[in-house]
This record gives sequence, structure tokens and C-alpha cells, in this order.
Amino acid sequence: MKKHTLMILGAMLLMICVSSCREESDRLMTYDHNDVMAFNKADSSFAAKFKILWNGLNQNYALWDYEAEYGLDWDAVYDEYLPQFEALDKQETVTDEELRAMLAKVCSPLHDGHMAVAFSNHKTGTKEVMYLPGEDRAVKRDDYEIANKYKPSLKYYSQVANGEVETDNQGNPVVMEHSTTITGLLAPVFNEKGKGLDWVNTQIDQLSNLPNPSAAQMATLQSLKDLKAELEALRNTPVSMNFITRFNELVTMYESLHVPALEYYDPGFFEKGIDVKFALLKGNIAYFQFSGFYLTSYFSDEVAGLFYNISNPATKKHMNAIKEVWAAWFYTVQQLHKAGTLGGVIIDLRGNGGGMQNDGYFITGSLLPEGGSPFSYSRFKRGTGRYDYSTLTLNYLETMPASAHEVITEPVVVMTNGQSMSMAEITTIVVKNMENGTHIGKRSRGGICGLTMDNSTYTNNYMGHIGERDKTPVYVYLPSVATFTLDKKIIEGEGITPDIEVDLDAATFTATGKDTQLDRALQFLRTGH
Amino acid sequence: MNSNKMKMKMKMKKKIVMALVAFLMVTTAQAQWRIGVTGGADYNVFNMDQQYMTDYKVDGRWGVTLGITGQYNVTDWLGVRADLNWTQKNYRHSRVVYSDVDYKLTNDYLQLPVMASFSFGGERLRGFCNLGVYGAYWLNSHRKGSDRNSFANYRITSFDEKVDFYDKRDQRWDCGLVGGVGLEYLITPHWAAQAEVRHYYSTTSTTKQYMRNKDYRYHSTTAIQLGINYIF
Repeated sequence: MKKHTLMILGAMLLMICVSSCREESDRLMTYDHNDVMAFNKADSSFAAKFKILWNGLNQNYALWDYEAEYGLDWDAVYDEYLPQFEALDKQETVTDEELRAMLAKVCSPLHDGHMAVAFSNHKTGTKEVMYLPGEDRAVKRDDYEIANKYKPSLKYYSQVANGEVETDNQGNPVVMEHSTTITGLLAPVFNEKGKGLDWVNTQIDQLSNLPNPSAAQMATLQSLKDLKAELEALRNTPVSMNFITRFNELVTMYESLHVPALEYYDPGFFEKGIDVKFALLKGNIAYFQFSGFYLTSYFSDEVAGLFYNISNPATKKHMNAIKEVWAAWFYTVQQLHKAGTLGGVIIDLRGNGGGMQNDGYFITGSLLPEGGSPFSYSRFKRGTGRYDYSTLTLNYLETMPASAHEVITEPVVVMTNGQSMSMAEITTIVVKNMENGTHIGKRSRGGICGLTMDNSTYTNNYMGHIGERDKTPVYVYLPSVATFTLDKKIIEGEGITPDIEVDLDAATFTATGKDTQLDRALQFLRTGH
Repeated sequence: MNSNKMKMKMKMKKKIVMALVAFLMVTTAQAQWRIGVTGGADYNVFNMDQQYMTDYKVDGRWGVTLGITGQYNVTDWLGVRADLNWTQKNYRHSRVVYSDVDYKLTNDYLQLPVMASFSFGGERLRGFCNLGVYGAYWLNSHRKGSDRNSFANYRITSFDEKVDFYDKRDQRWDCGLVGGVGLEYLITPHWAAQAEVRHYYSTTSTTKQYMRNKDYRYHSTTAIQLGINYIF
């Protein structure tokens, strides 16, 4: 009996002892919202900011295994840079440039193409000192300047005399374009003859030269002079939301003058304004170019209502104009295909920085069979550990139902350059996956990992943002997911290499409007090689 | 005085030697080998800190354990036992808010528990208690379940796939403590049946400490197993 009691006591003692054999994990914090516990020290310490950045990325970033393949040791980054941020805390002054340089040292090895890292500089009072690793990488490319400076233009190709464009029954070139960018819509106000400021000046001259102006004419003249002063002041103001607010105030104030082109500019267009161009080029080649994937926001009133003031007639007019350009391309492609005369399709994504995934429905979704088009895999974080990942789940771009379109079997060319990114790259992948698809131009920028702008969606996958923009002293805009190609490779930061690589001859483009990249695409579609 | 002390020491030594000889004679007379097979079910609990992932749920799962066993009895109440078994240490992690995020992990381990086996009771029916340590090797991992893709209109993806080990993260070796209690019934002088509840308490994290932030994850596995032994 004594022996058994001893055995039981021994076993109990052992159980107590073994419970201390396991070690406790470190306590982690979440940095997804403006939490005092997480961010308060960062208001007055660069070292605290760095710790949030380091931990937040450690927990949220989805590409750690990929970065490790490139030799990045994230723990070593902590050991190396924490003392340097602590040293900044001891400095009397820290300039924004110094802080940005430190952010560059820490984040430049990261391959995510969308990432934006922002620290507040409590020593200068600057709310946001930002560093973009993707931009830093892009700037180093030899084609950066050309890709950044030159936007696709149909100036040369839309002239019938140049023999590059098909004409309608009246002999007019089949070309349509529209812009809702601030440059596109407001440039006429400031720079176009007969419109905006130029029109105001003309009116002032006319009224000033009247021998006996009426009281009403005098009042109009004064209004015109006031408007001229306001517009000239605005012309020298950097474009911002404040600029747009003031511009719209002027539109309302001087509505009675009926100034051509002086119309309400929807503030939503400031972010989602796009250029769209359609041309039917020789050989029945349907060319479509757009500068951002925001078509959905123009086509669907439900989505548009989230971003734009759709009750304003000017907004509605521009939405319809964008839709008309796309519709012209879409119906032309469909009609020519049905007639058996479609020579090919060009989707020009040069300079297109991406946008809404739903836009895929209107672009590749109008060319491919119904049922969706798989284009890549997503891998989410599914744990707090650096390497806790989900299974790979297929990403699909929606495609139109069979009742709405016919599948396009003719050759399709997608064009990119070093500024084509995100949805532009996803679309490129989709086209490259098509049997009839070819990629022409320059290597894309390399930012395909998906992300969301909405902080409230953080808990969807427990990944995404660090901090809240304009609220927390650290803010990082980073992907919610790692995106893999269909052959299960990550190409983040590398971009997609074209099947046919061709440079844009900037001199020729500037002098004549002839576009060597577009010419190569046309040659391919016309000759098959 | 000194000679007395010497004599007493000599007597003590003689007594110790005689006691050892007697003990050895007894144990040799009672020493017996036994070998057997075991099999049963186990329930594994995966212990990890979910941290701020508040709706992240980790649940235990049932698995299988099969093995062979060998025991050398030193006395009628004490033996040394070693098993070699294949034991599954399964678990499930899922989300409360998004029920379609559901991972069922199946992990196969080859284990070698070495234990002191204490027995007590009658001739035919005896109780026993095992206490010891174990070492194990993570053979493979498999996962089955579903996940949702917020970038594909929340499409649900079902999967049933092998999990590739990631050297930087995964600790393939597992060591810990093992203890069990059971009953043995002597069917014949050479055959005995056993029923045992055994607990494997891992003291080795399944993840290497590859990050500056320490993250420990442990298996705790309780097996209910039956065995049949041949006694030489």
C-alpha cells in the first residue's frame, strides 16, 4: 500500500514538474487600427515606430519565404536598424530626408510592388514621410523615364492620311476617346483656345471695348475679371483636393457666365479619373487603351455611388462618355468577330497602374468563355507566424455569360511597359494564358499581390494594413495576400517579361506621334510574326 | 577506535555486497522479457497562442496509434518498457466568423517512448503505470478542408493535400514526457492483454524558433490503446 501511495505521489509531482517544461510565446499586438496601447510610444520615438513597422510586417506581410530566397534575414534587419533608430531619438533634429533614407534602408529589400511605408516625423511635424520600395525599384530601370513620361496617344494613328485607321461610311476615322483625369478635364479650362480662361479673356476684351456698356454688361465684365483672377491663381496652385474644392466653388459662383469647359469636376475623378481610347486600326484591329482599372465605377451606378456624385449631370455625362468608348470597342470586336473580319485585338495597358479587379469582366471577360478565367493563386496568412500560410486558392477573373458575348478566337495582344502594374499585370497574365494571346512591350512593374484599401477588412484575413492613414504615426499599405502565377511562382517585384520585347522610341514618338511599340503590335497582328 | 571504525566499515561493505548479490539473484530469477503489439486511438490537442486572432480556433482531433512493444521486467513490479509506434497527432484550425476557413491537419509521427513500468495487483489481473520519456520524428503532414478567397468573390476552395515541410519553420523532432496507466490480464502464462490510457506531453515546439518573436506550439496527445504481449 505504501509503495502504491508513493507511486501516485510521484506521478502527481511529475505532472506538476512537466507543466513547467513548456515555454511561453511572446505576446503580440495587432496594429490594424489606431490603438493607444500599440501606437502611443510611437508618437515621440523613432525606435518605437521602427518596432511597430518591424513587428507589423513580421505578422502581416505575406512574402517572407520569397524574401528569404532573396537572402533577406528580417531578424538581422531588427538587430541592425533598431540601434540606428534609437540614435535618431537622441539627435536634436531629424530631417524628413534622413528619416526617408532610414525607411529606404529597412524596406528597400522588400519586393512587394504596392507597398508604401509612412512614418510621421515628430521632430519636424511632418505628418507623413513616405517611402515606396516599388517606386525605388522602378526608378532604377533603364526604361523608367520613358514609361513614366510618355502616355499612349492616338494622335498619329487617328489621322486618316497616315493610313493606320479604318474609316466609317462618311470617311471619318473610327476613333473615340474620353478622359476624366484632372489633366484631361481641366486642361481645356486653362490651356485650350476658345474654352475656359481663353474664352474669359476674349469676353473681357470684347466687353472692355464696348463704347457704351450697359449696367448688366459692366457687371458681367467685373465677374469675368474676377473669374480670370481666380483661375489664374488656381493655375499656379498644386493639384489637390483643395484645388478641386475651390475649382468647383468657382464653377458654382460663375455658372451664369456659361464659360465653355468650366463645369463641375467630380472629386471622385481625382483618384479614379481615367483616359480611355478606342480605335479601329487598319486590318480591323480593335485597339483599346485605358489608364486605370476603374471602368466598373463608371458602368455601375451602385459602385459609382460609392465614389462619385452621380446626381451631378456633369459626372453622369462623363460616366456615360467613358462607357461609350468601351462599348464602341466591345461591340466592334463582337461584330467583326461574328462577321469573321476581326483582324485582332490590342489591349494597351502601358502606364496603367491597376485598380478594380471587377474590371476584368469588361476586358478579358469579354473575350473569354463564361465561367471565369483562372489567372493566379492567392496565399493568405493563416497565423501570426512569419511562415503561417494558407493553401493556394485559385483566383478568377469574372467573364461575361455566353448570352452576352462570343468568345474571341482571333489574336489578342496585350501591351505593357514598366508602369503597368497590379490589375494591368493580372490582365497581362490572363492574356498570356490565352492560346491566342501575345504580350508585347516592356517588362511590367511587378506588383500583382492583391490588397484592399479598407482597414475594416483587416480581420478578413488578419493581414493587410499596419496602422491607419492620417491617424497613426506609422502607416503601411501592403498586400493582403501573396499572389502566385498559375505555375506557382511569385513574380512580385520582377514583373512580367513580354513575349516580344520592344522599346518605345521616344524621339520618334515626340516628333511624329508614331509609337514603335504599337507599330510592333500592329505588325504582329497583320503579319503573324 | 580506529580499528573499530574499520571493522564497522568492513561489515557495512559486506552487507551491501551481500544485499546486491541477493537482489541480483532475485531479479535474475524473476527477470522476464515480453514483446507485443499495441493499437488504438489518440486525441491530440495542439497548444498554440492565437494572439490577437480572436476568432481563430484550434481544436483537437482523433488519430490512430499502432506499434510494437518490448519490456524487460526487473522485478515483479518494475520493468523497463520501450515502444516503437506510429502515432498521429492531428488537429484542426478554423475561424469562428468564417466557417469556410477550416483546416484539418493530419500529422504522422514515428515515436519511441522509453518508460519505467510499475505494476501492482493480483496474479491474473494487474494494474500498471508507465512513466518515461519519448522521442519522435515527424514523418509527414497532410491537410484537408476549405478556405475562402477574398480576391475571388469569396469562392470556397476545398483542398486535400500533402503539406511540404519548410526547413526554416518546422521542427521535425519531437521529444517529451510520457505517462500512462492501464490494466493487464494474464490470459495464459505466456499471453497477456493490456488496456492503457497514455499521455504524450511534448516539450518540443513544432516550430523552430526562427523568428525574433518566440512562438511555441506543442502537441499533447492522449492515446487509448490495447495491446497483446507474449511473455517469455
